[in-house]
Amino acid sequence: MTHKDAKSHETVPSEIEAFFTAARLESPAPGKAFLEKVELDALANMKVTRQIAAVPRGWLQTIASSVGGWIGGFGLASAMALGIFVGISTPQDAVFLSSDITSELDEFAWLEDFASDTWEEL
Amino acid sequence: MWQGFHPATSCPEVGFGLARNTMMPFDANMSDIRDEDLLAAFTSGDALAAKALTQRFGPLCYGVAFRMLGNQAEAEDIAQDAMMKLWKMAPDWESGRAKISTWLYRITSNLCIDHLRRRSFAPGDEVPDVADESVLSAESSLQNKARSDALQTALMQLPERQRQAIVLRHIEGLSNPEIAQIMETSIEAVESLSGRAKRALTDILSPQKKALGLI
Repeated sequence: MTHKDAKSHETVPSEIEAFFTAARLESPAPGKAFLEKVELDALANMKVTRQIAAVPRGWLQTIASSVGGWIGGFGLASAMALGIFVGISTPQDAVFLSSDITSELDEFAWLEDFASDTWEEL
Repeated sequence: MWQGFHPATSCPEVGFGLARNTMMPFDANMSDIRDEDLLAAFTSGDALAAKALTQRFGPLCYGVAFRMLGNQAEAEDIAQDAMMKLWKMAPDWESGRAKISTWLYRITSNLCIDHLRRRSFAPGDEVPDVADESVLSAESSLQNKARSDALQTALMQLPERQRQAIVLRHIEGLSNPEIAQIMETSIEAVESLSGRAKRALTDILSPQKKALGLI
């Protein structure tokens, strides 16, 4: 509640202190209807706050937010797809892939010969 | 004693989130619960917390607004607006940021000043409603009532910043540092405003002292 300063009235001239004392004793009180209106405002506002808090989220939104939003979700989906592809690929595919690479490497066989000749000269 | 939140014992209609010791007597104002805890309970959907906050802070806002505006109906409108700001801000309230009462004093005072500035452009709407019987207690002495009315009339003659300082200092009983925080100014400025206001009030009220039984 409000902080009451015990020394707040020390410097008030005595002639007007009597008026302040009277004003504190005759503190204006609000009507009952006013307090009811304020309380109704509070209850109405409380319902709005609770409705906003209670809006259900879809399961897709929940999953997306748990992996860092939609952008994070796409990244995760791409990584999953690549992983599945590697997992289900047959070994023949892998051999085909490796022979493709080695045939391309044959074009650089001269580099190996050059290196061995140079080594022998040394 | 504040027992914290116990969802298992909560009821959606009444007392949601506020578990109480059943041995304790019911206290509608929940006077032993801290302001911030009440606000947190309100945010959680506790209807009793809403009622307690209304009873704790509604009169505070109204009192300041009435002293600033001198009119019951306008004071109620301003106080209701200030409380509405509290309800809307409640979910975002940062614990330890400021006292709720200090925040409300600032909001109410600023709303009053805005209202006074708008009212100054609307002639014919400036008569203070200081003698409103519904506002003043029927049981109080006639002399207290007369002095309080005289002070209210005098307050309405002060510039708004001086009036704000004097109401917060000498009627609401706040400290100068708190008032400086509310008025968003320095402590020295508050002391200066308060000093000038007291001198002006003394000049205005001195001629009435005999009639009001002060000589």
